[in-house]
Amino acid sequence: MKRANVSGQACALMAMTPIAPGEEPALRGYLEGFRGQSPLARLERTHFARWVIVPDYVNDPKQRHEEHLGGPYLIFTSNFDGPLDTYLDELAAELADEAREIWGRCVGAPQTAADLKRYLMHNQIDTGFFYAAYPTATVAKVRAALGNRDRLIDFALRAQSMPPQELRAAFLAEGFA
Amino acid sequence: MIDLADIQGDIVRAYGNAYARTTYLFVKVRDAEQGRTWLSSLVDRVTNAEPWTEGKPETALNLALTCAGLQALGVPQQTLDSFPSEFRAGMADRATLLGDTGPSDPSTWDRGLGTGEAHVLITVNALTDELLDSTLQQLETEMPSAVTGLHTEHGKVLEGAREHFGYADGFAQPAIEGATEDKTPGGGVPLAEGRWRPLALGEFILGYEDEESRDDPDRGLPSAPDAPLGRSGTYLVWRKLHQDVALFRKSLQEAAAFYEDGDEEKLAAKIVGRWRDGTPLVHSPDAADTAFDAAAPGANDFRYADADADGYRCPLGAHIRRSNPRDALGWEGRLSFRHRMIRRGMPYGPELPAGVTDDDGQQRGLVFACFVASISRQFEAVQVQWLNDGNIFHLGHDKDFLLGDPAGTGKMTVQGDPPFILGPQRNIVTTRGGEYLFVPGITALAAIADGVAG
Repeated sequence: MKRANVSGQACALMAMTPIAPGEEPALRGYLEGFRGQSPLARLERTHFARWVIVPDYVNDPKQRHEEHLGGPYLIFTSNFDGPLDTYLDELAAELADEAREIWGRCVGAPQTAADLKRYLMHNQIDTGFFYAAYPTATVAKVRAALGNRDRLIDFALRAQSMPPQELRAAFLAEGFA
Repeated sequence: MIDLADIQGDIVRAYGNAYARTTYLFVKVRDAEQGRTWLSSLVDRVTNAEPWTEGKPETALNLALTCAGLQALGVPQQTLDSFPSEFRAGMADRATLLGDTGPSDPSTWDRGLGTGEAHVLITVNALTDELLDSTLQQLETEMPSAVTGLHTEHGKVLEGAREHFGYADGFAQPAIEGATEDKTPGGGVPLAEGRWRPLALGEFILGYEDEESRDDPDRGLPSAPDAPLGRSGTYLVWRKLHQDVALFRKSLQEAAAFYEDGDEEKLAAKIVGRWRDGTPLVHSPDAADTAFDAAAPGANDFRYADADADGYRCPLGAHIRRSNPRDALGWEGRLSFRHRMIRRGMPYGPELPAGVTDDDGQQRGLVFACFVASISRQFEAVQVQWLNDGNIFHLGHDKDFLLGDPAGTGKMTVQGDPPFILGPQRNIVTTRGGEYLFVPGITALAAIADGVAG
């Protein structure tokens, strides 16, 4: 994997695949159907990810000849806790049903989990430059830190009324990681 | 030159506490023609911004319209489309963004507010109860069958010009070039070496240069609705905010029991950033200044970056530091001076007697009213990014203690040695209704009444 796809332990993936003729409306409908319930939430190493349908090029009205894509494309991008290899394994296993509905509507639709992994790697576009705001913190670490913050606030609130002995005992009992 | 005769009153210069009574009357217009005839009869009585040379009038009358109201009065769609999208959508539509959720959700608002039925807001100021009653009565008599009252809110100046939680309010108003330059120290834009400059009028009144256009000869005037509506007008953000005074007192009492010798007044000051009499904490961190005079020169002249960067005087998340950060965000105030509002709030409902900490079930609170040239850049930015979130102040998802969203897990830290922490907020303040309104200039108002607005 190219170094430009990596920042700390965070990785960037982008895969662009042509949508099979006539399948664009169904694919768009399927993606819109997720609403607030993204299956990507099940991949616990995902920071940010999205599917984007590119229907065509945007043409500048001033350009001499209009240019058009051969057909609509699907772009999948994900920023996740590396490495790519095991992330794609998880994606193929965990999102098998969704993958059939999504990449199954693309040209050269992958049939098996192993197919899907090869398919995405084959259609991967390397990153030019990747920036991650917290390159060493995994999603799990960020979630734990947010949880700790809430616990710490709760503790600090209770602790304000405690005498030293009780405070010590309460702090040790919390076992802040 | 400011065309004061064309701008409605109480905007660039406050009526202030000149009037003991303020009543807000929302009406619905069912027929455009009848509505316009009715409006015509009011236009000549609308109070403008010219100075009162013969003392204050006994009453003052002002008008504002929602987008639905403009439509109901027959303003053409093309003209409506020239208004900004947040105004056209209306406040209720922006509820999620504004934090009007849970107990503040528009579905729970007072009847007639946030439903698209409120068309015209008539604001009546009066010196006495009798004058108010007779004016309201006259207004009611004059209404044709197609114009009906929807919601009335009676505001009243409370003892000592305080709001219901007991704080003197309304000190920090923006200083406007050519209008309120006396407020420049503390109310303008902070400059180097402790100097300030007033804000351009276009930050608040449409049709004038604003802070972006006035120093750039290549720029046109700021965007405004199509002529003849785009001149001398402004936007009014009107919110009815219920205050649970008993709960506030109880929360404060409970928290203060563990704060610096149980100093409840000091903790109350830390929440807001001013002592209850208005003394700024930055000026006077240990006790209220008994000699504090809000009208004295320099009373509002303070900053945060040098005097109190760590919030040991005025906490980083104190209400006034959030809603008007001055230079607290760095860059000498350049990140905050385009988010100023002219505030004209007014309490409603009876006071909860001093010392009472059980709710008496009475409706009381604040009618929050502010005038801005851009609802999204000024009011919404402050509400969403500064009051309902702490990120920009490096306070995580802490929210404003008074207004904050009770569903959140935000706390408030009172910086100190040791710091003191106030727990996640309860429903101290809930939204009971609100509207985004357009306040036309006098000429524009006449054009709407004559059916020639676009």
